[in-house]
Amino acid sequence: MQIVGILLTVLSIVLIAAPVAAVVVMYQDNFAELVIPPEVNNLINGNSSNFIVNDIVSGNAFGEGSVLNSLIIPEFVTATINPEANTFTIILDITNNVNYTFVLNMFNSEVQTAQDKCHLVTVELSDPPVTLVSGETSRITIVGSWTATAETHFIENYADAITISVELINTSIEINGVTVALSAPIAVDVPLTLEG
Amino acid sequence: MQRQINYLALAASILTFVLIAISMVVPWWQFKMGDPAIAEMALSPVTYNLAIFGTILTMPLIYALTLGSMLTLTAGGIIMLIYAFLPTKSYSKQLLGFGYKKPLYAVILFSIALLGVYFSAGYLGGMNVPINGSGTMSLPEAIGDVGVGVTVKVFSSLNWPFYIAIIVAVLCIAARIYHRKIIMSTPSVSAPTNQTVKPSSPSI
Repeated sequence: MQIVGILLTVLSIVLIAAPVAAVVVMYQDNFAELVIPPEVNNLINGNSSNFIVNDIVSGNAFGEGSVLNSLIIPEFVTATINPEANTFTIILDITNNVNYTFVLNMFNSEVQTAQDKCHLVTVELSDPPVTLVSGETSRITIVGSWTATAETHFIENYADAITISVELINTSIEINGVTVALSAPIAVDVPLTLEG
Repeated sequence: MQRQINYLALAASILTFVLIAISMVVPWWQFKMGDPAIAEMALSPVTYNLAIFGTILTMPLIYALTLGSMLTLTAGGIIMLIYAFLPTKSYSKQLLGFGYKKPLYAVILFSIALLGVYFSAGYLGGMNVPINGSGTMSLPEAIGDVGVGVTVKVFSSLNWPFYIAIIVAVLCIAARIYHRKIIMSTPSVSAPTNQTVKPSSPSI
């Protein structure tokens, strides 16, 4: 009877210890990979093929052509203005190089002049949600409107300007249920000569 | 002599095998971040899945532990099955002691692990990870730059195999209690009685 008890105790230990010992032996040259997934390890070492569709990294991760800059690439297409309605439309092409499809549910921001903090326009995403398919380019439309006060301020101060320095404030973006709210302003220089 | 069978142990052992098979497919606990999910985690004592941006992450140590857990549960079910048909043997108590504890340990350790995740995420990371249900998790500012607030929709669920596991554990405990009744109701036939025979008085 004692032998049975001892055998069962040994069995309990062996059933847990054997698989653990096996993987420890398999990864004896790199114990870190026991707990750090190889996919994450590759990403840390610059191999982002698991997460990025087109691995267009050139140089190191912190130099030019970095991974982060290549994840989501926006490209300006065109913009139209409706002066009667005080609205404008900006069309962008977004290339999603992440090996995953995102859904852009919201983009809101307010634009003010960088110099005198005058509120100019409010922009938002038109017709959400927008699906950013992995490895493809999707077109998104941003619509905005300005007030009469903003129009007057612009005409008085920036009528002859080539560019205008603005700040995006209270920017919030929601992608796949993840909401990022940027309270810090984002500085942008907008050229005042637009095509289209 | 009619063979004694511990039917509770028999049911517990069969249900243990069913539980193992189900747990390979349906996790005990699921956790998703984002909608559609950008990160997913599915856990049970016999398997785990972790994926970020659709990429499955492999952790060999966790895999080894889940494999060991599956082997342990399987062995427990087999031993429990053997005991169910041989409850009155001299070694039956050892068999029962090995078998009935395994599902119980699985449920207890899994619950402790879940609570550990909940409390450690809360106290160490300041994040409210729901055990069962949906909610919004705010990531601490330390993760991002100052002035960036990040909130994530999260969803977690304790799935039905977890409750099946609780039933199995309860059955195992009931089998343990019923074992005592079987032993008490079994007539003792193990040791022969010592009879002293008095020599007869010689007749004169």
